[in-house]
Amino acid sequence: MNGQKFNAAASLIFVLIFITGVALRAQDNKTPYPNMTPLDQYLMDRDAEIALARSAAPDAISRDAKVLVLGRMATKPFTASSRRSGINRRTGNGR
Amino acid sequence: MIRKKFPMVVPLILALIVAFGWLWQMQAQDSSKDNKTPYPSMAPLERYLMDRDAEIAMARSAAPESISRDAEIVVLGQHGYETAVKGKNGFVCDVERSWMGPFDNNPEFWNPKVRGAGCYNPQAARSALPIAYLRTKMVLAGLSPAQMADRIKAAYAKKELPPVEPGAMSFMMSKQTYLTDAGLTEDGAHNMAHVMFFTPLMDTANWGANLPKSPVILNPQFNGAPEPVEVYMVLTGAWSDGTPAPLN
Repeated sequence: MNGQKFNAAASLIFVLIFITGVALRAQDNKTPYPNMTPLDQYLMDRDAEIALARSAAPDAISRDAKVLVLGRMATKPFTASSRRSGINRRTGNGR
Repeated sequence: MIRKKFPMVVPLILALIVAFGWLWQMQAQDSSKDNKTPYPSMAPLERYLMDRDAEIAMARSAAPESISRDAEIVVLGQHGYETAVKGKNGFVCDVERSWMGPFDNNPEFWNPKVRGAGCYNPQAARSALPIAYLRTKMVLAGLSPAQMADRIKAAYAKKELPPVEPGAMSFMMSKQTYLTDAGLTEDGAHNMAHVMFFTPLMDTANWGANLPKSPVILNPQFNGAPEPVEVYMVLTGAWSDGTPAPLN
């Protein structure tokens, strides 16, 4: 009788552990980046960022565009080059 | 004797040279005129009409099936465009004819071969598609391109035609489309898979259109002459069935 109870409890614990593991893994897959990482991980070398921003459009368009780069002071984006074409370029998620 | 006849022959030869020159010039002018205006006037209406089922299928092929299967389909009849299939998602698909091209300097304005399948999103269906309906109505009423242009100008002045809505766009990704006798893509096709964005008149530099390597092309379709609408095209690189299409 005790042996049967032990087996049942062990099975239940095993199932609970399994379900919890699957649920945690599913959650991890859905939110691989749940929080902001240190700011440095979002920053780039300034020249590389200017070049990357310009590469968003053909040279005929981006060569005269104003280029913004991400700095530490988010409220004041730093203008890295003069604006002539009236087209802004920025690196980011495209929105 | 020869000296006496010589003065008579010279004017005759000169007259022949002038006559041949004039004939040659006339022929050259006619030939040039033919090349410039291969479709000088509207062909019989039947040449612009299609089998109804074929037109429905072609209209649907303008956009991927996920968009066009629930779209309203309009087809060209004897009296203008009419709804053939009611829609559910606000998109409207049609097959447009040559008179949707520019009024000015357009030798293919009456080209009966032109078939342009398009699927307009709800914004474009409300604010750009009425241009197609009005142009077609005027064509069927027998108006000349100049008269049509004047009427359209007046229709905008009287607000009978709406201003283009923000977000208005359409799909033109049908393999069956025939846009012009000229080759459009590097393989010489008369068609190109693309999407179109409709905006009010603006400096086309704002879209980086027609600049080297820019994928944005300004369509000369309306361009303020007279419709106050710009149409920007971007090649999609794929037909509506997902197969690859030329990008150049």
